[in-house]
Amino acid sequence: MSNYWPIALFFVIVIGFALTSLGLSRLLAPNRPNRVKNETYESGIAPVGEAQQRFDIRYYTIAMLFVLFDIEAVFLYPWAVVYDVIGIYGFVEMLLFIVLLLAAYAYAWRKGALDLG
Amino acid sequence: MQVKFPDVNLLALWPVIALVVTALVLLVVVVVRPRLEGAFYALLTLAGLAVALVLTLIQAGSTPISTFAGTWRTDDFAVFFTLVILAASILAVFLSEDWLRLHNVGQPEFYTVLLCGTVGMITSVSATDVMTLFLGIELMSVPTYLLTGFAKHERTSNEGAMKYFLLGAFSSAILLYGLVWAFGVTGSTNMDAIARFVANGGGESRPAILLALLLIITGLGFKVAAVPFHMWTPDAYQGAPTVVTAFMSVAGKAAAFGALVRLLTQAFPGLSGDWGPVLVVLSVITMLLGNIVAIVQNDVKRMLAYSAIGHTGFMLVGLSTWSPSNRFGAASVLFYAFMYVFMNMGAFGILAWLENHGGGTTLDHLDGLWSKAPAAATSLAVFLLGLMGFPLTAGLWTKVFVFQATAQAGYTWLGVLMLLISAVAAVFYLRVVVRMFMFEPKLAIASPSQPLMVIGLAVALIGTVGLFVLFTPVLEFAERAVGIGA
Repeated sequence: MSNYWPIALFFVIVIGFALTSLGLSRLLAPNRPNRVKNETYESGIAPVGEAQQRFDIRYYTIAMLFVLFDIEAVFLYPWAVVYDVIGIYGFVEMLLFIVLLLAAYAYAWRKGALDLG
Repeated sequence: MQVKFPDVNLLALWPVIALVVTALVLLVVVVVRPRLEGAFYALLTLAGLAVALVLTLIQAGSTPISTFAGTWRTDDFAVFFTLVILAASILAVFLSEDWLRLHNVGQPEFYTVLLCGTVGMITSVSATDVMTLFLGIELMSVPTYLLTGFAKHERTSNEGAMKYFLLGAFSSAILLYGLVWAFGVTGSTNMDAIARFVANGGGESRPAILLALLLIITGLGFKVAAVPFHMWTPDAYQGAPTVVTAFMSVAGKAAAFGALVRLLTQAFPGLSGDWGPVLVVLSVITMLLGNIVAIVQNDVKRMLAYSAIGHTGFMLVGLSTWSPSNRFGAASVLFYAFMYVFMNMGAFGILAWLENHGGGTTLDHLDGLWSKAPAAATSLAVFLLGLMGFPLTAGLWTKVFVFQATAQAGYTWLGVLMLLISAVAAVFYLRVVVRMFMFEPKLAIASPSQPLMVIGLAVALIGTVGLFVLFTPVLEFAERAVGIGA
């Protein structure tokens, strides 16, 4: 068990640091709230409307497509960088991956997922 | 720089490749020829599943193949569960065409998702690396969430899918956390390496190993619907299209049990004295709650959902008796999963037909079914008697061998308790039979016979009755799969 003491100590320090800094800030900082200060923080711009609003269902399709191509890009970059090392083995593997994606992409296209009108 | 590629033996993967290719072809067919008859997609899917089944049967005779740097093993254990899963998928396709056509929902999409789920299930029972196992569990879970919500205009279906998704994601996280603890302590994700590490009980890391084990049992407890991790089950099973309920409760459960048995008996065999008693407790409360709550249900579909929880309890009884020197408990679980396919797919199949053409699945809808549709009533009676464990059906042997496992392991009291609870369960199974055969019909039913559905139900019926006689090969295969006489 003695191997685990550093981990336990780490947890104690992390929680202790968080509690101490929050507590000190609560004790030392002046607290003068007003209406403007209590507004939702929107990076300095005056907030508009409610946070709980409805989104167009099409955002979900776009999000799905984004994930599709995002993952593809994430895989393709390192693959291209080490292509000279992994050779034909890597080429075939990536080809399989792209064929799978292509089928899904063709399906999404056909079903009108890219039609945003 | 020299890269060492993992060895890839595609022989181990042919069934999976066949399924993935079929799923892709389905998607591409939608793109190229959008207006095809629904039955075409069903037949295409069945062809893919049949090819996978044949390829798996070929693997059954050959020597085990370990590939992908020891993360995947196609051995008797994997082949056994793959056969169970493929049988359930094939029956699900036969039974689903009717519902899909009546509700005009996307047939190719349904089959694609079903095939992806099947691939995930096969992955989770073939994995010998805990990360591959987790990947398989996820690839199985995500399609089943989708299938649960496939009746997208029905609120109950949406509700069931949402609950299933949230609790499923939650349980996957718990399972993953347990696997990560196991990796953190043992330094490996390979099941054999973990087994070597815990062979002597884990030494000074024992508390951490036990925590990992607890988290893993909790995570997979959700997937097999063991009490107290069953909360999602009744709503998901009732809300899902009936055929999907059948598929989830048979194939999904078989895959989750496969993963559980593989993990506990291959990665943590040295700790069977620790996880055995935990499973005993889980099995007792699962059997009790599932079978007792089923009695008060008025909707037969919901009743069978609770009955499915009860069956999880019976299977856990078998697994809890496992120890390295007495492996019959695991064999009884495999045997149970195999027989359960035919009985449960058949029972839900009749309910699906009744829902499609009779309007619902409550006891009132079943009143006097015998006088209106004798074949359906008789079949449902046979399936329910099978689930009950009645002689002349394969269900009898499932209970017999679990009982034998408890007796061999010195847990006879648990076996007796299981038989007592089975007797209680007879109340709600027989009530349905009585209402079908002895009550006057209340509601009208149109009974067109659907060719695909009739074939599926006939296969289930032949399986339920035929395996009562021909159970020996299945039992021998199950014993070989868990390493008895190897």
